[in-house]
Amino acid sequence: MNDEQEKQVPPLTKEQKRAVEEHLRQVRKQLRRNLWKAYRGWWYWRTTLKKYRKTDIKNTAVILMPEAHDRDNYFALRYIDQMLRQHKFRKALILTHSGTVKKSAELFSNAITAVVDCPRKKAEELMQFYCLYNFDKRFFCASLDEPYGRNGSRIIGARGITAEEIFVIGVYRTYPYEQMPPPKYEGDDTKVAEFLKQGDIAIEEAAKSYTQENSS
Amino acid sequence: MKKRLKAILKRIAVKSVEPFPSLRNAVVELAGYIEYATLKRKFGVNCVIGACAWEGTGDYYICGMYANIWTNINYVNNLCFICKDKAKENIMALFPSMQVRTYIPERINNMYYLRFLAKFCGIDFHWFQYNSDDPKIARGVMQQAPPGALSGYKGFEILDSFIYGGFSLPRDITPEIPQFDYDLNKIDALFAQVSAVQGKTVLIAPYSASLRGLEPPQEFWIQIVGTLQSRGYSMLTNCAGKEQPLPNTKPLLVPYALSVPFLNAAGGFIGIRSGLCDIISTTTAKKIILYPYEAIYWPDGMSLAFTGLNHMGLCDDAVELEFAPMWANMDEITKKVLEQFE
Repeated sequence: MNDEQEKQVPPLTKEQKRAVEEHLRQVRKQLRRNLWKAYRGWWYWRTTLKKYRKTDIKNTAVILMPEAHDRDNYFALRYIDQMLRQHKFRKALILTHSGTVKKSAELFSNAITAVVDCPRKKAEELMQFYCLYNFDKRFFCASLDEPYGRNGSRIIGARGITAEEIFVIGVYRTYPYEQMPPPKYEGDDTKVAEFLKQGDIAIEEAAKSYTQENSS
Repeated sequence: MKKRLKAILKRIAVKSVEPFPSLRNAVVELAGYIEYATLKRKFGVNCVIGACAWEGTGDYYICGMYANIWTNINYVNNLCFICKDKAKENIMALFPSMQVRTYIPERINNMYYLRFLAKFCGIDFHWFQYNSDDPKIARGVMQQAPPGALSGYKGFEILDSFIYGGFSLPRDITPEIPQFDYDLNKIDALFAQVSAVQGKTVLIAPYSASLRGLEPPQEFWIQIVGTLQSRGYSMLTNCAGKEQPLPNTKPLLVPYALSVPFLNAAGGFIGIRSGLCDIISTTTAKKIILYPYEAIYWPDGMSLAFTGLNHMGLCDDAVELEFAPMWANMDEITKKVLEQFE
């Protein structure tokens, strides 16, 4: 720091110093907690892979759906085959705590090995481990806003870009973007039918952004 | 001595755990904490740290345009913006109404650790550069996407990425207006320094940090300089540090605060797309911005779509010319440039 700036910054008072130390203590605590969380995430990752080691796990994409947010879960399922093709995986293993995903996963793809129940706490631990480093190319965190710093929702609507496009390009790393047809459902489970309506919402949103783009 | 020893020990610690990614990153988090604590102890508990790409001249300018609005909306009254050096600090100083302090760290590389900590612990550190970050650290959609896939996608340009992504502001918000130094004595002194004539001077900016090594070949510039000189123009090269002036031109480093007033008086600017183009975007002089086909930080051929000044809305009167691969249309571009100064 140069002298000029030194003059600009007034020294902290005793009280301010105390507040800073208290704040730093909190940050250290948070850091310790998050490192522990990351360690537990590593453990969960390891045990999950071990459990499915006989199902061609080396060629399996592991998709974590951390939210009960229907929109992201729907996109994650709808584009699963396209993603597997592009990244040269044969199968997919889904980790989720959403009951609807468990019920409707088979409507979207035949390549899903299993839908594993992953409580929110475990998902958070796994994401914390992912925040530590990119531990495995097979891992996908299927959310526009998680883990911390993803901020995908912020650019929805920018220049007519839809949530669907951001998800496919920015989360599944699939490019160029190509829209996949929605699955057909003839059952009578209202929750599944409601979940599949996300497809119509996405189409509406795309149409809106298309007109917005053209008008601008 | 103590500081040096501390730095050496830190480096040894980081190096020794290099082969073990999770352990290495845990050490990096701790190193980030040390940087964070240094800043907090200097600026107080309520200071919020902001940063953008260290080298990006234009990025600092854009941050300057929107930082004040961001601080007002988010009730931040003590934003400390990390600047790589004095030159970057001068860019932020173009926005004097800003309630922002700038800070030049002793080692800019240490700030890398701080970014690690921010992503891991969610501390009050804001990386406003939405479009670019180290994929090792960042989990953002633009870093996760295949390289450059979202840059220029559907016309999504760099300013969008700052406004929507970095600052999370509405696109139509009015940015802060930079305040340049219109002191006529200083401007006259600059012209006198290089014996140039006002209204008949062209400033050439052939260097760009974000397109280093991708500048047009020397013969392109030589032809432009030669022809314009024969038409009576004084030719200047904007260069700093180790950068060399173009043959038959005079070197001149225009301070950022004087850049727009100087160009208004000079009459012309020809430059490869760099951060300087963002800063001088409001000049009334003829400005010709050249975009090489190849790029480093976005896909080839997307320079105009992603960083075009007119497209970004920074101005609407820039003459923007894009080179073809391997400079195939160099003659055509030369002709178009020269047409502007008949």
